[in-house]
Amino acid sequence: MVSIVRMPEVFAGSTEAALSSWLVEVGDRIEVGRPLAEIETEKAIVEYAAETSGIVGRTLIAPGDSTNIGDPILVLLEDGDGDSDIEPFLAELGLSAPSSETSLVAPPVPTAGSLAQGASAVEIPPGEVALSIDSRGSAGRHFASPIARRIARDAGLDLSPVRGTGPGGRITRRDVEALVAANLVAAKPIPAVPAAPTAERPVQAATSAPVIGEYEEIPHSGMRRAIARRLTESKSTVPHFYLAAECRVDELFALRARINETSPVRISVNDFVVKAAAAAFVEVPEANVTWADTAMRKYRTVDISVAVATEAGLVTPVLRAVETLSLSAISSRIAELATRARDRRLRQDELEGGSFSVTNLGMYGTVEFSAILNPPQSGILAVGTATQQPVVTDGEVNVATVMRFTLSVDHRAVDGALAATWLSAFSRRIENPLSMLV
Amino acid sequence: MHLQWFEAGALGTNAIVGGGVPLGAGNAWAQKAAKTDDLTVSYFGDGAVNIGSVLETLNLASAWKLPLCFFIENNLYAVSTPVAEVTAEPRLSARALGFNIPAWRVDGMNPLAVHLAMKKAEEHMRSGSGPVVIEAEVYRFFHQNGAYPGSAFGYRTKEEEAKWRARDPLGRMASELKKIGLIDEAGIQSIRVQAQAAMNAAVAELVEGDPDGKPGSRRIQPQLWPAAGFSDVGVRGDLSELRGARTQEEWDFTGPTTQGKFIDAVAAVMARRMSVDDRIVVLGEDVHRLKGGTNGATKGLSDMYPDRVLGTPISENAFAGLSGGIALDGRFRPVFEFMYPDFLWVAADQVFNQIGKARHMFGGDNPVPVVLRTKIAMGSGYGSQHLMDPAGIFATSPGWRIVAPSTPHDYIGLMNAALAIDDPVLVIEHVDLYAQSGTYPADDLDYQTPFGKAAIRRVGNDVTVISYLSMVHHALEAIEQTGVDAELIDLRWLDRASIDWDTIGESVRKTNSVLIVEQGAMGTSYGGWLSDEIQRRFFDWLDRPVARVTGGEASPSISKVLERAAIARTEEVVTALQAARVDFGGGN
Repeated sequence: MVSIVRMPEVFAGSTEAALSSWLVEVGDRIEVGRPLAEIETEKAIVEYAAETSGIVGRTLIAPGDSTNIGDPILVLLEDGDGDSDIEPFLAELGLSAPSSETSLVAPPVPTAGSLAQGASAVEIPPGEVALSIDSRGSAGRHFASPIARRIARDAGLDLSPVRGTGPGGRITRRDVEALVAANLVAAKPIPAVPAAPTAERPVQAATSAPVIGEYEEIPHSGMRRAIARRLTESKSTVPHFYLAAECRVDELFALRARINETSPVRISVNDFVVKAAAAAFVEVPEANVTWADTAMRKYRTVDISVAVATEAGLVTPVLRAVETLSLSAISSRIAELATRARDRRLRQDELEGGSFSVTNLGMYGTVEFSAILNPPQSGILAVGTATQQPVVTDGEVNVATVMRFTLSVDHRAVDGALAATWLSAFSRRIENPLSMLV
Repeated sequence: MHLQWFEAGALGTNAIVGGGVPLGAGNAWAQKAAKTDDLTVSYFGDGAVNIGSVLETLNLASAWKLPLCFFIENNLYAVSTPVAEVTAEPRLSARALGFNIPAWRVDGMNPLAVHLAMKKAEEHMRSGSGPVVIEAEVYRFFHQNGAYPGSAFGYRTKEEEAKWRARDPLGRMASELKKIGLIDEAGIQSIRVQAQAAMNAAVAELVEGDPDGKPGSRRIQPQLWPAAGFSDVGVRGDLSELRGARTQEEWDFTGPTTQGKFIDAVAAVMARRMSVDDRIVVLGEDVHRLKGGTNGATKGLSDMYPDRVLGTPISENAFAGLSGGIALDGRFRPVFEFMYPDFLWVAADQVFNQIGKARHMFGGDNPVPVVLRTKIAMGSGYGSQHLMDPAGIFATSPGWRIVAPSTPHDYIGLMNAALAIDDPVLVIEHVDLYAQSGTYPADDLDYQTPFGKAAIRRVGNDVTVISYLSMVHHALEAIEQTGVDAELIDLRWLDRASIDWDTIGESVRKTNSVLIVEQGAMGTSYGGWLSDEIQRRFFDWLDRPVARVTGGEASPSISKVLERAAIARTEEVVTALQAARVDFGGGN
């Protein structure tokens, strides 16, 4: 029997995903669990493993194509099925694929619900149904309304980097007007990107980036958009408050140096910070919580996200059950996650969960900073650089190595006193690092 | 096929069997109403005797004692089907008895017998005693069409044809004249030769040798064919009759106004027109009774003009065709009514094949000034066969102009225009509007609404809502409820030749978004052609597909719940406006 593999929802709430590459070829016999494809979401590239066994009959989208979650991407055959069984099957589904290598233009498959709502009284324009299924189309098909194209043509604007706000991402008149208005504000002549070569206007290279004003426009990546959305949401909806701590780290540095003399893996200061944070949660478990709409979630293990800067942007893989890990285990685990983050090879489950994050800009010499919470987490610790400075102890001035930590807290989940208790527990471990080793 | 020569009294031949008979009755009605003793003869074959138009007209003509001769040329075959095979009363003149019409059955191969029968008939008709039926027993030597005898197609024998040939009226005429010494053989031959020479001379004016054909074949001279561009000429008139008309819009009327119900304006403007134009006659079912018909639209008219307000039998085909015949005659201006729009299907031949096509079919020069009134009754609970909106069907059929007033002021102006126009005009009313009150001029019922001008009922920027009749009010309500900044266009003139493209275009270029709003079933809906036209005219100005509000697929049921579900009102427009807002990219 012929069956369909659909674009999986690898990231909760996402509506579309792109095929990064196929890991199987037509004719391959696959078993459950064999990776079929690499799927690129806003945050990661994920290997998608087969959920049923079969023989790969046909691929319906090509690497680079985006489709909606749930759209067919692959045809699976069983023994006895032939290539000739595929077309009738696709036709029955309302699909027809011109060939295995060309991408499928998703046909308008109106859901029963959408038709039932519209049919009796309000005619839904047919394009709307089609577009809502195949939002951006495949192979770069870009929808813009006729008036939007007309205005863009008159203004010499290239619409290809624009993501529309209309149904299925259709670029509407208002989108283009906003773009034109933005250009007027920039008060610069708009260099034209001619639609067709003319004698007066030599055509530009088709691949050149659209130039508007004096800046270059770089289309948003999915990751960039995700960062923007999530942090905007966090900063505007989560009530942040901040606590700062200054810790003397001479002992920690000395201990680290001694450990690194013998350790098979190199332990970083950050590893100590993560270890100390986990230990502080063990001491103050009331702080290991996150806010949800109807209840507080109190976690049984300490899962900590570690912020990793990559070329494409910030990602925050999660270390699980950090309280059970040794320093060297923490170190090698973080190193491994960071490497895969830079390669965009993290699995989605490695990006989800945790109540707390650690972010460290110390290596750039940043003395202190405050971070934005990573929802739904309730805390993030911003780690500054270690500096030598005069400190006063018992009325005596000494030189000491000092690090500054800024804790951002979600006030809905954690009150000031509780946060201060946690920060105190953390500071004690940083200043008395041996306590972390026992 | 379609030959008309008014000057010779030829009203127009017809390719619909029996289709010309109701038109003939209209001509006879006009002759009688003009107080002449003229009469009308409608010639048709044995096949037409069994069609509804003829039977309905026999009844109507007899009821109204019209000077109409039903001249049946019984040539024994309807194409190839013998008369006796399709009727149990093959004496076709016997049809007349059931309608109390005198009838003559004559030997149609005997010119003198036919002449004498016609003299009798003429006497009867000119005396004002009503219609007659003459059944002439004749024969067509050839098949229905073409040069071959019927026997070649096997439905009759050569012997039968030879027997009738022997009774050829031309031969009989010659032999009878010779018998009484009025002509000799040489004279007979001379007449034949003269006749043939005249025919050949006429044909020679039209044809020439075909250079591409077989030797001896001829063709119509190329320069005699009309230019291809003539194909649409004469679908309607040029409206020169409206030149100089006084027009008036509600928004710039400054004279005294009166407050009244919509339905009172309907009756008032007709009373006014009938008082100043005695050509106007009103026809329809019950229009002369019930104090102004079923809704009061003809209130008071029959008291003032009993001879010009004619209650018809329930024979839509007959009285629609009769109205068309009156219009073609030109001395009167008929206004006929379909009590419900769905009855257009009953009268479809007369409405669309005859009235709608008459001007164009006969060369485009002869006007067809007739007004058809009907009311949309969606919401009245009258069910599947009474609740259509006829606008879509008329708009997609040639020849008709359509007006649909949403206010009493416009009703007066549009009816005055309809009565002035020399084309068939459908005036659509709506029962929901009848009881609504509005203002209209207190002492001016003579203005016209400017031809081809829509009214903008609300100025807006975000979406152009195009509607007509009662849905204009629903659309306005919906716009207020949603707060969408819509521009609302009340079309008023609906047909493709009268619609206001200037106003629509200006609005579409501003809003880039169109919503066509109507109430009735989607299948025969009005907006389909309009949507098509808009997307072709204004494609580059559109920001989204043309959207539409219509009813469902089914014709509305009697059940109040199902009727409401089947039609569109304010709520459906609200939904569509919200969808329009989403389409802007404006979210919810």
